[in-house]
Amino acid sequence: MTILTWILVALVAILILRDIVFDIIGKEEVSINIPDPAVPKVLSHDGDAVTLGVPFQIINDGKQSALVIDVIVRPQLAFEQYDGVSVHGKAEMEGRPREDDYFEAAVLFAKGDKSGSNVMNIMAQITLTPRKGMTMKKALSGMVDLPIDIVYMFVGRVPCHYEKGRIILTAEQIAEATGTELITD
Amino acid sequence: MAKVQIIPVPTRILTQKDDIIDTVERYTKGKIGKNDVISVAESVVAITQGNFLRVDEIKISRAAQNCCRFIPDYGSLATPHGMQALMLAEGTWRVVFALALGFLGKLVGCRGLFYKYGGEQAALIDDATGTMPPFDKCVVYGPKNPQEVVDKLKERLGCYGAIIADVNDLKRSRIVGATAGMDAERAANLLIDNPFGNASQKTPICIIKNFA
Repeated sequence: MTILTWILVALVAILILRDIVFDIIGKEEVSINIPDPAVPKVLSHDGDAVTLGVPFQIINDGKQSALVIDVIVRPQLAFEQYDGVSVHGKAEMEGRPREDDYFEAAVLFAKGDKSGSNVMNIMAQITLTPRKGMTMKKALSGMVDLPIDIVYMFVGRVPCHYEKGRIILTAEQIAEATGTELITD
Repeated sequence: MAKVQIIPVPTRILTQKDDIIDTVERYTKGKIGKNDVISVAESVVAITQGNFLRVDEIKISRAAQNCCRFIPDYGSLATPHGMQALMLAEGTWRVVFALALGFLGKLVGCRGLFYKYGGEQAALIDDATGTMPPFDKCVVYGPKNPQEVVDKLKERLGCYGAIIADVNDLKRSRIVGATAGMDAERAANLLIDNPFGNASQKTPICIIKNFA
């Protein structure tokens, strides 16, 4: 064999060895766990706005820790479908309440790591505010199904990137949680 | 002899728009004497120097992705971003060489070669979550020209000495820069309980009273 062939063989061997080592070391395996069906509960309710909470989890089942950089709760109610309420979303980590909408980056430990949990409990807080001079009761009586995207950014052994999950709060669930009677046309 | 005392000085969140010397002077006015030492947290000095990168703005190389896998996952260089930040500061080949040297060193029982040859930032970089919001989503480097900063602080405040310290809640205390004549080891021991605080305690400045 020529020298070139030996170099190529050595390179291929190094790459195979690298993959084997990386496979043994493992990496983070982050996913979102949204209860199905999602069960909203009222966190606060006054005449001006109602805030619903929907718990969900971000879980790391991998062998390596991850850093959860950001979690964004993005309600997807289009006024073309229903313009009786405006919707605002916020993610709040369990045990770390914040008055602002900021999500503080945190470590999500590897599964079995004694330093901390591999499960991050988060509450999606959805605030519904009536529009067009309607009362809360009237605004919620015409509510439609509300899709909410949960967008989360994390980094571990792979570069940081966004992934997404989705909660769908049905009009019936919202009505039941807020004690409202739905009016269908 | 007066008792040594550590006084944390609360501040607002400091940013790259602040000058660290002016800021420390403003917050410690009337509180610091000629026998005292001013101590500033290293990450805050770096932030005021603009010495940080947002995680989502760092372009990751394949070398960084591969190299970070060899650092234990609790280290600040364990993510591709932390490793890439080091490569940007110290040079890709230097970091790769130091990592290989560190690996070979470990095989023969010689530890710490990576941090010795990987450049001064290898031990100073804080990955995301290492600093309080809004810098929790950033990789924060160690401060630039720490000696110049402490010399200016001492001169401006007229105190016994000045230090830049890297302290955490895990009882690790390291002096990154100290004025001449300072007993840096003694200062590091005094700061071992992390009076700067982590999380959201905004006390990046501490006065060590009666140090002299």
